[in-house]
Amino acid sequence: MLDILSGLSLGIEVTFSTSNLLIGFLGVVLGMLFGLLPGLGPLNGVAILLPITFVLPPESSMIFIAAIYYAGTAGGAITSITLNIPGTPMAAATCMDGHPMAQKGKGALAIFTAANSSLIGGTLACIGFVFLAPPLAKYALMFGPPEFFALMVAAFACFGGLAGKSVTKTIIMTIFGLLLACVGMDVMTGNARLCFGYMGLFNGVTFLTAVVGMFGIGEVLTTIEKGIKAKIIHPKVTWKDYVESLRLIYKHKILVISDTILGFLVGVLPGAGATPASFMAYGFSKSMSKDPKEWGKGHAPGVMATESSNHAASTGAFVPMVTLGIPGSPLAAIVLGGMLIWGLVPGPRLFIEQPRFVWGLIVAGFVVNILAYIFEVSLVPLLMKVLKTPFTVLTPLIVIFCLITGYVQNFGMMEVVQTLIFGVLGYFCKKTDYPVSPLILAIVLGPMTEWTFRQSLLQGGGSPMIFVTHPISFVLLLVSVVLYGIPITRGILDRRREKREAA
Amino acid sequence: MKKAEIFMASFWAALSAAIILEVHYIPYTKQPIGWEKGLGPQAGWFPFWLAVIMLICSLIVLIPKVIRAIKDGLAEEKAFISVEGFQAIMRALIPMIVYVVTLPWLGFYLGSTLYLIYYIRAVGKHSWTLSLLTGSIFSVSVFLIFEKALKLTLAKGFIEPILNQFL
Amino acid sequence: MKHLKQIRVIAFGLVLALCLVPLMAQSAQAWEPKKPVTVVIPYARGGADVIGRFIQSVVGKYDLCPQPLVVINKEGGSGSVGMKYLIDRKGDGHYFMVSLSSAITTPLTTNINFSWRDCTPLCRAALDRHALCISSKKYPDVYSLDQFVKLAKEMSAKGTPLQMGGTGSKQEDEIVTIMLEKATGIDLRYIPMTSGGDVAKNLVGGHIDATVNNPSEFLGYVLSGDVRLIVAFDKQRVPGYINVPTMPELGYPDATYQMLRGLFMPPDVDPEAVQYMTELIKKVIETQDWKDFLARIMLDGSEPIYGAEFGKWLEEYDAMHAKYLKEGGLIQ
Repeated sequence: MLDILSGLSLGIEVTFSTSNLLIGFLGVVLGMLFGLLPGLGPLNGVAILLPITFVLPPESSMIFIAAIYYAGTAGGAITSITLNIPGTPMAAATCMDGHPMAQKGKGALAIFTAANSSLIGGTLACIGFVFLAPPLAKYALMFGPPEFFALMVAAFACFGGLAGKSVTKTIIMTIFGLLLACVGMDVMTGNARLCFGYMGLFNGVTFLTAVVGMFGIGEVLTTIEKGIKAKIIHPKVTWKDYVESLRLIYKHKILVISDTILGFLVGVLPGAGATPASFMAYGFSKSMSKDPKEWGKGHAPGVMATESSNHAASTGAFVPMVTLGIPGSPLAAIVLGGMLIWGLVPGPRLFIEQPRFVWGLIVAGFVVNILAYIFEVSLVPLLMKVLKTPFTVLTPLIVIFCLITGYVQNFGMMEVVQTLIFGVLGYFCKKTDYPVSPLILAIVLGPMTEWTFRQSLLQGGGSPMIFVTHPISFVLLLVSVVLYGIPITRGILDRRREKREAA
Repeated sequence: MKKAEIFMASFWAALSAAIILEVHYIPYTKQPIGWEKGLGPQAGWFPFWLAVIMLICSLIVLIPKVIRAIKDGLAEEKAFISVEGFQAIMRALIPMIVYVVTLPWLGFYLGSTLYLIYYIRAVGKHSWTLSLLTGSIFSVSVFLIFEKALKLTLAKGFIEPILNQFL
Repeated sequence: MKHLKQIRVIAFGLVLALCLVPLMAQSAQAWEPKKPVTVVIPYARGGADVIGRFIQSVVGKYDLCPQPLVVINKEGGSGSVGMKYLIDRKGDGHYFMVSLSSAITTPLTTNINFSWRDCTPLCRAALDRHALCISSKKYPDVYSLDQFVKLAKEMSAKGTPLQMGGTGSKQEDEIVTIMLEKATGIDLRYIPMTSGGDVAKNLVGGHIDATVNNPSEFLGYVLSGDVRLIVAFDKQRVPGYINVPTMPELGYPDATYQMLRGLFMPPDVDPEAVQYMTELIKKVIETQDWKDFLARIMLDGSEPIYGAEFGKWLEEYDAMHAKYLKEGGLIQ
C-alpha cells in the first residue's frame, strides 16, 4: 500500500510538470485528429509520431503516446456515432447503437454518453491498474492457446443473444465472417488460402475495410433509397443532453461497471485487445438486459457497454506491457520498440528499475483521460453542425472517407475495391435481414479462434482433451454453454408466455 | 422480396460451393483438409468444413423459398425496391464505381474533387458555387493533412508530378 | 574552297559540342529524387518497421535528402505483399524496402512467382542474432546445451517432445529449430505463433518450453530470471550476453544463423539512383544515432555491405535457407 502511495506521488510529480502537461495536451489534440481522420486511428498516430519522441525523455514520450492513444480511441467513437464510420476497429461496436441514436436526432446525447462511459471505463481501469497490476500480470500469464480458444468461444457465446430474426441467417453470416478471416496466408503453415490464386488477396481481408464498407457505404445506400424521408432533425445541443446522459449512466450503473470489469479483464490478456472486448461487452449486456429487442435501434446502454469496455480494455492492455514487457496489442508492440530506443529495457523489472516511467505513465493515464474527455465534450456543438450538413453533401463525403479508410489500411487499390464490394453487400444484407454484426464479430475473432484451436491441438498431440484438462479453458467453455443457453431458454419462455396469453 | 431472398440465398450457396471447390478440388489452390494424427487439423480443414456448413444453411434458407415460389409463382407482394429508390441508388452507386475504377489514373485528389462536384451539383441539385467549393476545399485539406503534415501518400494518379511540386 | 569546308566542319563540330555540353552536363549531374522517397515496410506497424521509421527520422534530422522520406506498411503474406508492391514499382528509384529474412524464406516456401532476385539489392544494413531460450521457471535445472539435449531426448522418449514456439511457419525461427534438431540429433515440436509477442507471452507463462529468438526481445525476461539463454547461433558471443556460449564453441561450427535487416530497391532502377540511395544509406549508417540505435536493439551493424556484394551474399544466404528447409522436409 505504502509503495503504491509513494509511486503515485512520484507519478504526480512526473506528470504535473508544465512541459509534460503541455506534451499531454498536444498528444490529446493530435490523437483526436487521428481518431477523426478516415482510417488512421490511434495506432497509425502512434506509429507515425513515434520517431518524434526519440528526442524526448522516456516519461514524456510515454505521456505523449498515451495521450494520442486515449484521445484517438475517443475520437474513433465520434465518427462511429455521427457518420457510422468507425475511426478505429475498437469503435466498430459503437456503430451498432451510436449511429441509430444519431439518426433519431440524439447524436449529442450519444456522444455525451460515449464520453462519459469512456471516462468511467478508463478511470476505473486506471485504478485497477494501480492496485491490481501484479496479480493481473499473473492472471494474464495463465492464458495459453487452449485458454484463449475457450475465451473466443465464450466471446461468440456472448453474441448468441445478437442473433437476427432467423438463426440460419445468423449462422450463414457468422461463417462468412470466419471464412473471410481465413483469406490470405495461413500463419500455421504459410499456405495461401481462399485466394482463388489471386495475389491481391494474399494479405487477407482487413477488418476495417469490411466494417467501413458494411456500416458506412451500406448505410449510405440504404439511406439514399429511403430518400427524403430519411431526413434527420438535429435539435440544438443543450446541457440537457449532457445531464440526460449522466442520468442514463446512473440508471445503468451496474451495466457500465460490469462492462468495465469485463473489458479490463479481456484487455489485460495479451493478444485479445479492445475490439473483441467491446463486442463481448455489447453481446453480454444485451443478452443480460431486460429489453434485448431495443438494442441495435439506438439504445443508449449499447453505447455505454462498448465505450466503457473498450476504454477499460485499452488501459488494461498496458498492464502486460508494463509489468511483463509483453506486446499484447499492436500498440504495445510499437511502444515496446520505442522503449528500446528510449534506452529502457522492457520486462518484468521495469516496475522496479524505472519507477518514474511506470508511475508517470499510470498517473498520465488518469490525466490524459480527463483531458481527452474535456476535449471531446467541447467538440460536440461543432460536431452537431457537421450533422446539419445537407444529406446530399454529406453522402459523397462519407463515401470518400470510407474509400480513403480502405486505402490507408494497406496503401493498395485492392482494399478500396473491397470496401466498395462490402458496401454493396452490406446494403443487400440489410435489405434481406441478414444480420451484419455477427459477420463483423467473426472477422475480429476468426483468426485467433482458428490459430489457438490449432496451436492447442498441436500442443495436445491432436487430442481435443486439452481443452478439458486445462481448468481455465474448461470453466470458460462451461460459461459459454450457459451463455448460449440464455437466449434459447428466453426464447422458449417467451413463446410459452405468448401461447398462454393467446389461450 | 421473394426474388431478392432467393437471390441472396443462392449467392451464399454459390459462394460456399466456390470455396469448397477452391479448397479441395482446384489443383492450383488445393489445401489438405484432413485431421493429421497427433497434430490436429490441416490448413484446409477449417475453411472446408465451414464452407460445407454454410452451404447446408444457405440451402435450408433457399429450398423452402424456391418451393413456395414454384407453388405461388414469383409475383411479389412487396417490391424489393421502389422505382424511385432504384433510380436514387443508381445515381449514387454508378459514380461511386466509376470513382473506384478510375482511381488508379485520377488519384484520390482529382477523383474526389470531380466526384464531389458531380454529386453535389447533379444529385444534390445544389449551386455550382457550393459544389465547386466543397470539392476543392475537401481535396486541398486532405492533401495538406495527409501528404504535407503526416507524410502519408494517397494515390495521386497522373497529376502526381504536379502535386509533388507542393510537397 | 578547301578552307571553307574545313571551317564548316569545325563550325559544325563546335555547334554540335555546344549542343552536347548541356546534355553532357545533365548526365554528369547526379541523380536526385524528384518526389518523396517511399520506404516500404512489408510488415505490420510495430516491431519490424522501427528500422524504417528510424531511417526516416535520421534523414529528416540531418537533412540528408532534398525530398522527404515517407514510410508505408504493406503487410501481409509474410512479406510477399510488400515485395510485390516494390517489384511493381519497376524502374522507379524513389522506393526502397526494409525487409527481414522473409524476403528469402517466403519465395522459397510459397508458390509466389517472384523473389528477392527481382529486386535490386541495396544494402545489408544489419544482422540480428538468434539464441535458444528456455523457460527457467519450468526447467530450473537446465543451464547448458547438453542438459537441454538430454531433456529433449527424455521428453521425446515419453512421446511428448519439447514444444518450441516461434514466429510464423517455415520462417527463420523454424529454420533455426531445424538447425538445432539436425545438429544435436534431437526431436522438437515446433508450434507456430502469430508474433514475437505471442511467443514471449507463452514462454514466460510456461505454455511452451523453449524458443529460438532474437536475444534483444528477451533481455527483460533474462534479467528477471523468467527465461534463460542456453546457446547463441552465432560465430561470436552476443554483446550483453557475454557468458552465453555459441554453437561453434560447443562443436557445431555450421549451426549459425543471422537474420537479415536488408534494404532493396525496385527492379531495373537507374544505376545512378541506386548510387544515390547507397550514398544516402551510407550517410545514415555513419551517424552516431544509428550506431546507438543498433546497440540498443542489439543488432550487429558492424559490417554493412552494399549493392553487388550484398547480392552475392544473398545468394549464399538463400542457398543456406534452401538447404535447411529441404532437410526439415518443409520444401521439396
